[in-house]
Amino acid sequence: MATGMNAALLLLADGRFPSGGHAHSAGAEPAVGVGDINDQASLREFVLGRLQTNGLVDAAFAAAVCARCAGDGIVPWSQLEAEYLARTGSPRLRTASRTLGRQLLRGGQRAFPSARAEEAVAALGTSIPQPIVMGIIAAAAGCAAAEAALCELHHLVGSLTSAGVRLLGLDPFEIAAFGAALVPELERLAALAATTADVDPAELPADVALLNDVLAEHHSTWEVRLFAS
Amino acid sequence: MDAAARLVVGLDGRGHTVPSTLRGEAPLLMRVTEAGRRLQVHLVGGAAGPLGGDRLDLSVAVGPGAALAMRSVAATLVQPGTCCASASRASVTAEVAGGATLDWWPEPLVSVMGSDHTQITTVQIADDSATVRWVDEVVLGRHDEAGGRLTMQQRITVGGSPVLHHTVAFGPATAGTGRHGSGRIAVTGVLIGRPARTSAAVIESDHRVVRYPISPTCTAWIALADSLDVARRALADLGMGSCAIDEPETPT
Repeated sequence: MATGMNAALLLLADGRFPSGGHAHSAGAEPAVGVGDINDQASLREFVLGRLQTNGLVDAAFAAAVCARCAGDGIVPWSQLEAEYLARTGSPRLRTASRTLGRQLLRGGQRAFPSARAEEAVAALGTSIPQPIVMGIIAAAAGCAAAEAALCELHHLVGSLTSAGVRLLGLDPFEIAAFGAALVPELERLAALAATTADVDPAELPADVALLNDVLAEHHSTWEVRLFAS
Repeated sequence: MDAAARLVVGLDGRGHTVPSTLRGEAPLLMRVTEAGRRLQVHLVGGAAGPLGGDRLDLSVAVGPGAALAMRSVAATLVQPGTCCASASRASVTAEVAGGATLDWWPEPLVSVMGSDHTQITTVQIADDSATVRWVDEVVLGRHDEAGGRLTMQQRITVGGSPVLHHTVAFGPATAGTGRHGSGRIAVTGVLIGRPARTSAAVIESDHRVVRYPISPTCTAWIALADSLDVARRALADLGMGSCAIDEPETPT
């Protein structure tokens, strides 16, 4: 943006944008359930760990898709999806990502229609992993690759911390201060994710949190859940 | 120290798996410990290490229809270098042809305090007719010791398509609930080329274990625990040790 302002990014980052994210805790509910998160300090550690692993991967895929969609070349949709799924083994996490992708695509396509979105649906159907959809919609909204990555990281923090407020009754003011303290880390990770926007999809980051897979599959066996994932 | 080792196995006229190349240098030395339809080869560790600064390169190829089991005689201790803080690096590459079987399950990699090691594992499987079990056991620190920095990168492809691609980073700065927990033990396993198992997860005070299908012919396991025995038992309960890969199917 020549002006340095991007109102479209604010729209995509807004929790009120119809993306279905409110139904997902991004792994916070299972972690609360087994006692890994029980206060503000443990939530903080959890959020940092997730940001630097799966969060970075999601941000890197969003950036890679955004950069390709903004360019003139062919977007290797099937390859991007296959590489993302190879980094997301847990069936539960795959399903959650596809559900969130479908919902974001619905709202995003309406708000920021693009030929790239139609291309993606033709290649992959409508249940596309969420970070890929974020890249498509962010590009259509005129965002840069680093902004798509930042938006992805922002939503991860939002899902985790709002689940912390709802499940543990954490102080929303403390959570807001925590979010503010995370700003440099989010910017660092978004910039890092953007550095791989143009690499071969096989070379994209693949950092995982092993506990995330264990807890996600465990969560799917719970009889009573507040969040879908 | 830079060291390289190469093992190539194939079928002979009698249907036995035999090595056509078996070449190594310390600390990457190999010995055939069982011959027959399936060949078993042990890594025997001809020197300490890897140590800081080392570059190790191990490559294995299993020819069409051949069956290979890779084991090791002892845990691999990843240690810091003597003079300066330098990282060590190991690359492990396996190529598995159609109809072949590779069972890779060495003793654990122990990350010693102060070490900084990266292992890059690349497994290229020709097609769905091959069977591969690949298990990596990680122990963070010796007895009563914190571990060093350890990064395990793994990429498995079947027919060129990625099935699993993970980078798992361990270390004092990367412990905790947002990543892999605070246990000393992390075991990851994958079985490719056999009908996938359903999801199952176990959360206990001393171990957390999961099994899940990645594709119709691929199953993954993860165990996080404080003790290797506990992790192995929990994985055996979820069927990782008991899969029939040790008994190769008779070729039809």
